[in-house]
Amino acid sequence: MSMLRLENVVKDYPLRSGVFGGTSGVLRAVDGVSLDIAAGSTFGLVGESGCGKSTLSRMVLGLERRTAGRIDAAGRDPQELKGASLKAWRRDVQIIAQDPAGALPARMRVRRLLEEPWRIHRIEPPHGRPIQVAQLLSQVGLTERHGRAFPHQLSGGQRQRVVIARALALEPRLVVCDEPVSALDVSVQAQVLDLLRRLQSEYGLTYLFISHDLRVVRSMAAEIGVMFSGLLVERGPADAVYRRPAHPYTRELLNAMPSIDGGRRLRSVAFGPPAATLDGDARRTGCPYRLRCPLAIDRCVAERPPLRQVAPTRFSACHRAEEVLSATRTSQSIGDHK
Amino acid sequence: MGLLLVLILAACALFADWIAPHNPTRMAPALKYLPPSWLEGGDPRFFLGTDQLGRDVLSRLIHGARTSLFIGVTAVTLATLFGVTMGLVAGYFRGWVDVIITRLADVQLAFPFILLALAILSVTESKTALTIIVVLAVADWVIHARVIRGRVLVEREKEYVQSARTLGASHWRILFLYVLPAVLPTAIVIALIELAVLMLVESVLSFIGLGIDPPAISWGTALADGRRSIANAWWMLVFPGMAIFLAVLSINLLADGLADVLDPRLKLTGLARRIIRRRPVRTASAGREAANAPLLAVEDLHVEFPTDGGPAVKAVDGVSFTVEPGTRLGIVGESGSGKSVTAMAAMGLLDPAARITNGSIAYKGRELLALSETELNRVRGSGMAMIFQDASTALNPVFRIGWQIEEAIMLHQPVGRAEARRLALEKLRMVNIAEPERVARSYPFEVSGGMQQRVMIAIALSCRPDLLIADEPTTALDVTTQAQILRELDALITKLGTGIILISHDLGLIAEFTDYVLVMRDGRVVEAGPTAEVVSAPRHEYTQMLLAAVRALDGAVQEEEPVLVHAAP
Amino acid sequence: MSDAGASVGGAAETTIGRSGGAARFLLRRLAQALFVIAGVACVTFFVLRLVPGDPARLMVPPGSSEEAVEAIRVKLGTNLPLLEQFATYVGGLLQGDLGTSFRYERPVLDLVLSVFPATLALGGVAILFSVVVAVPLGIAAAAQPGRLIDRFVLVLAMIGQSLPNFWIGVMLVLLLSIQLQWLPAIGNESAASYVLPVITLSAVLVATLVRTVRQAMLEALGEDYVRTARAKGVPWSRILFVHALKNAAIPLVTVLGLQIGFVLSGAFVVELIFNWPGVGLLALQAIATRDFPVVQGVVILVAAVFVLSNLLVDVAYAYLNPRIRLGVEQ
Repeated sequence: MSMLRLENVVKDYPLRSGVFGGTSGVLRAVDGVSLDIAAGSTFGLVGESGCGKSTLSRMVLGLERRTAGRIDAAGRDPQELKGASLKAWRRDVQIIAQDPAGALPARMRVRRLLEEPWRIHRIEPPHGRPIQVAQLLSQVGLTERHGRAFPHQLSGGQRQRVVIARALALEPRLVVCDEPVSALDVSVQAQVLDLLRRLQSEYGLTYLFISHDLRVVRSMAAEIGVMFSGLLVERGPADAVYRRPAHPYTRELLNAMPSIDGGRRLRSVAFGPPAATLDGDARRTGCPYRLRCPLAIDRCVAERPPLRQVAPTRFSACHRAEEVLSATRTSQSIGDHK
Repeated sequence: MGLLLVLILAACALFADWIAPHNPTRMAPALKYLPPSWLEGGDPRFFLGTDQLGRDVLSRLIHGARTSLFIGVTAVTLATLFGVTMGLVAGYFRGWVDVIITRLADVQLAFPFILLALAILSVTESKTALTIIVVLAVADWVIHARVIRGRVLVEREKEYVQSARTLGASHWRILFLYVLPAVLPTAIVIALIELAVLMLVESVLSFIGLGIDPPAISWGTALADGRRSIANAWWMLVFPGMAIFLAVLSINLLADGLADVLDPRLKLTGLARRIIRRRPVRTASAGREAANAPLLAVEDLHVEFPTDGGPAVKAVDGVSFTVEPGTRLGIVGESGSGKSVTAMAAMGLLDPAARITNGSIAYKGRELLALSETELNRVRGSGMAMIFQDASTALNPVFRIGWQIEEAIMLHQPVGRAEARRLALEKLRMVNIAEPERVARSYPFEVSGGMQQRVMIAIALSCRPDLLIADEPTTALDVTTQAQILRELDALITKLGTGIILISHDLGLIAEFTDYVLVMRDGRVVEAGPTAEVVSAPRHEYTQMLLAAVRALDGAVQEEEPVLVHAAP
Repeated sequence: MSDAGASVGGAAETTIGRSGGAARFLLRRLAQALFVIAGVACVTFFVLRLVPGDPARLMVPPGSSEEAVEAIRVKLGTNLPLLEQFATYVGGLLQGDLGTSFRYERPVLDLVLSVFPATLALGGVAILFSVVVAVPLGIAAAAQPGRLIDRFVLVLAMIGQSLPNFWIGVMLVLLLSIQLQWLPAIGNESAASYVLPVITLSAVLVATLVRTVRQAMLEALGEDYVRTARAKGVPWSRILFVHALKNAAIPLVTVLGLQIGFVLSGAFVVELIFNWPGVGLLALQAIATRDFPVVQGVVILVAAVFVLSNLLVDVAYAYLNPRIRLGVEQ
C-alpha cells in the first residue's frame, strides 16, 4: 500500500517586476516530480538549496498549492480538503523541520506545547494529558524536568526531540522530515537519527526524509531520489545509488562529500568547470545540468532527458546514464586491482 | 525610576481631589497673579502661586494630570487595540486586507499628525474629552498597525507557524496563541512610547486652543494662559511646562526600561557590548619578528567570558599549538568547543567582553597580545588574514566588490588607486572568477554565495599573507560548491606557500585538507597530532566517538574500497 | 518559499538589468506619491464634511437666523449633495483650484503659496541644524558606547524627546527676549530672528536623530563586515566613518523622511509662538475665523510637500542602498 504518491507534480512561482507588479514570467521550482512511498518505509530526497525539495514537502503537507500534477498523501489529496476534513487529515501527516529553535513557540513551556496537538483537535488522550505528555517525553528520551522548561532553555538536540514528540502526539502515519539533523552537531545527529529509526519501527511510520547530505539520507532510507533544479534526476535503492550513481550530478554530489578515509585527495583532483546557473528559456529546454556536466553532448542541449529505467530498480534522467553506471564500474575494477 | 515617576503621576491623577490643596476651578480675582509662596509677595496658601483668575496653580496642575493621563491612556488603549489587531490581520493574512491597511497607513502618515487633528477639531463644535480621545486614537492607530504588521511579517515566516499549521491549528489560533505573544512586548513598548507622544500632542492642541473645552483642566491650556501672562507671571509658564516634561519623561524612561526587559530587539545596551574598541591587552614585551620563530605560536591560552553574577565561562582553557610556515593545521570540534574563540583571539578580533587571562600568541616570534591596535593593523591583512563562515554578511553590503578588494590592497601596499584596481582584478582572476570586471562592479548581494566566498578569499589573499585563518569557510555553502571552493583554495595556498588554520566541525574536511589536527572540546585540546595518524588511530575517546559518528553515516560502504573518490570527472 | 527564493537569487546573478532599475523605481515612487496626495485630498474633504458640526453654523454669529445660515451654506456650497460637492471639489483640484478664502477673498492657492517660503525656510534651517548637531553626536556616542560621551548624549536625547517644544519656545522667549532682551521674540526679518524658532523646532528633532544615528551606528558596528574590515587591518577611524557610516546613513535617511512631517506640524506651534508669517499661522488664523477653504488648502499643500520631500528621501535612500536602486527589494 502506498502512503504517499506524487504524479508529475509541478510548482511555478510568478516572477514579479514592472511598475504595477505584473508577472514577467514564472520560476518552475518543482518540475514534474513523480514518486511513490510504501507504507512503513522511508524515501530519501537529496538535493542542494534551491533544488525544489522544500517546495515539494510543503505541497505534500498541504501548505502550498501545486500548479499541476497529483498528490495522494495518507489516502487523500491535501489540496482537495477544506475545513474539518483538512484538519482531520492533518492528524495523519506531520513535519519534523530543520530548525528546532524556530519550530517551537518561544513563550510556551515544553509541557504546554506538547499538549497543543490535542487541544487543537479537542482530543482527550486515553490516560489524560499529563500522563500522555510524560509518556511522549520518555519516548523521545526526555524527562519531566525538560517538560517544565522553555524551549530556549534546552540544547539543540533536546529541542529536536521535543519537535519529534509533538509530531508524534497525533499518531501520524506519514512524517515529512525536512533536514531534521542539519542544525545539530555530528554526535547529536547520530542520536536523533537513531531515535527516528526506532520510532519508525515502533509505530510503523512512513518517512519522506529530505536532506542535502547524501550520507544522512542513505543511512535512513531504503530508496532515494536526487533532485536538481526542480527535477528528479535519479531514483533507486539507497545503497546502489550511493555506490554506483547513474546520473553525473549524483556522482558530483558523492565526490564533493569530504571523507575521513580518503586522505589528502583534494590535491590530486583537477579543477572542475565553474558552477553556472541557467536561467530563462535555457532552463526549460535541454538538460538543466548540462553546463556543469563533464559528459554533456549536443543532445543534452536539444533534448531534455526523461527519467527512465536504466537498470533493474535504477532510474536516471541522463542521456548517457549507462555510461555513467559503467564508468563507475570501471573505476571500481581499478580499485579492485590495487 | 521611570516606573516610580509614572506611579506618582498616576497617583496624582487618581487622587487629585484629595491631594490638591484647593478647588482648581475656584476663582478669586483678588488673589490673581500671586507668585509662589516661597517668593517675596507670595501667599503661603498657594505654593506655586495663582493664575490670572486667582486659581491655585498647584491644584490645577494636579487636576491637569488627571485630564492628560485619562485622555492619553484611553486614546492609546483604543489606538493599540485597533492598531495591533489590524497589524496582526494585515501582516498574517496579507491579501486585500493588507493592501487596504498599508495604503490607508501611507495616506494617514502623509498627514502630519497634528494636521489631521487640526482638520477634525476645527470643525467640531464642542470638544469634550471623548472628542479629543477619538481624534488622537484615529490619528495614532496607524503607527501601531505598521509596527506590528512589520513584526508579524517576520514571525509568520518562522517555522513554528508552519509547524502549527501542520498540527491543524486554525489561522486564528496561530495568530492569537502563537504570533501575538511573540509581538506583544513590541506592542507594549510602542504603546508606552505613543502614550508619551499623545500626551505631548494633547498639550499642544490645548495650547493652540483646539484642546478640551473649559472648565476641564489641561496642562496645555494652563500653558497658553501662562503665555498670555508671560510678562507678569512667569510661574504660570514654568510649572505647567515642567509638569508636562516630567510626565512625558517618566513615561519615556519607563518605555526604555521595559524595552530592555521585554524586547531585546529594541535594546541598545546589549548591542553596545558587541562593539569593539579596546582589545584585552596583556602586558608583555612585543619583541621583534624573528626568522627562526614559528609562524604562529599559541601558548597556554586562556580566554574567559564573564557572565552575569555567575563564574566566568572558560571558552578557551589552556590551548597551545604552533603553525610552521606553509603547513596546514586543522582545528576540529563541535559547537562550544572554543575553536572559533581561539582563532578570533589570534586575530585580535575577540568580543570585547572576552578576557584573555593568560597565555601568549606570537606571530613570527612577536607577541601579538602586547601590540597596540595600530601596530596590530599592520599585521592583520598583510601577515595574517582571515575568512569567515558567512560571506554574505562578511562583505559590506553598500560597497562594490572591487572597492573592497582595492581597500585591502591599498592599506598594505604603496600603490595608487589605478594600480590597486588592476591588482584587484588580478586577484579576482586568481580565485577563478570568470568575469572579473563585471564582478568587481557588482555589489555583494548580486553574486551567488560561492562567488561571495571566492571574493572573501581574494581579499584575504590580496596581500599574500603568510598565514590564513579560515573559520568554517564552506559550511554555509552547498556541498558541490563547498568542494569546488576547497579545491581552489587548496591549489592557491599550495602555489603561494601560505600556512593555514582551518577550523571546522567536519572531520572529513579536516582529514582531506590538513597535515596536523587539534581536536577541541570544552575549551581544551583533547588530542593533537598528524591528521592521518589521528584519523586512523585516535587515542582520545572523544575523537573516537566523533570518528564513529561520521563512519556510522558512511555505513556499509566501509567494507568495500571507497571507489568513488577516484572517479574524477 | 526558501527554496524558490534561493533560485531567484541565483538567477538574479545574471539577469539583473541595471539601466532600467533606477527609472522604473522613480516612476513607481512618483505614482505612489500622486496616489497618496489624492488620498489626502479625499480624506480631508470627507473629514471636513462628515465630522458632526455644520461649518456654516460655526461661521455665523450665535443666534443668527436660519436664513443667514442657509445663505452661508449656499455660499460654501454645502447645501448641495455630498457627491456633487465632491465632484466640484475634485474638478477644481484638477485645475489647480483650491477654492477661495472667505476672509481674504483671494484664491487659496495664492494665499498659501505666498506664505509658504517662510515655513520652508524655517523648516529647512531647522532640519539642517538638527542634522549638523545630531550626526557627530550620534557617531561620537556609538564610537564609545557606555562611556561618558555616550551617557551624556543619551540623557540629552531623552530630555529632548520629552520636552514639549512649544514650552521650550515660550521659555526661550521669556528668558532671552523678555528678561535678557538678546534676541527678537517675533517675526522673521533678520537672521537673529531665526535663532529662537529654529532652536525650538530642532530640540525634538535633534533628540530623535541622535538616537537614530547612535543606534544605526551601533548596529552597523556589530555587523560581520566590521569584523572583516578589522581582519583586513582597516584603522578604527576608517571603519567608523567609511564602513559603518555609509550603512548607518540608510536608516538615518528613513527616519529623517518621517520626521519631515513632524517638523511641519511642529512649525504650526512655533509659528504661533513667534508670530512667524508661515502656513501654520495662516492655518490657525483660518481655523479661528472658520475660513475652511484655507484650512483645506493648507492641509493638502502641506501633505503634498511632505509626500514630495519623502520622494526625495526615497531617492537618497535608493542612492545609499544598492539593493533598492537595483530593484532587488527583498
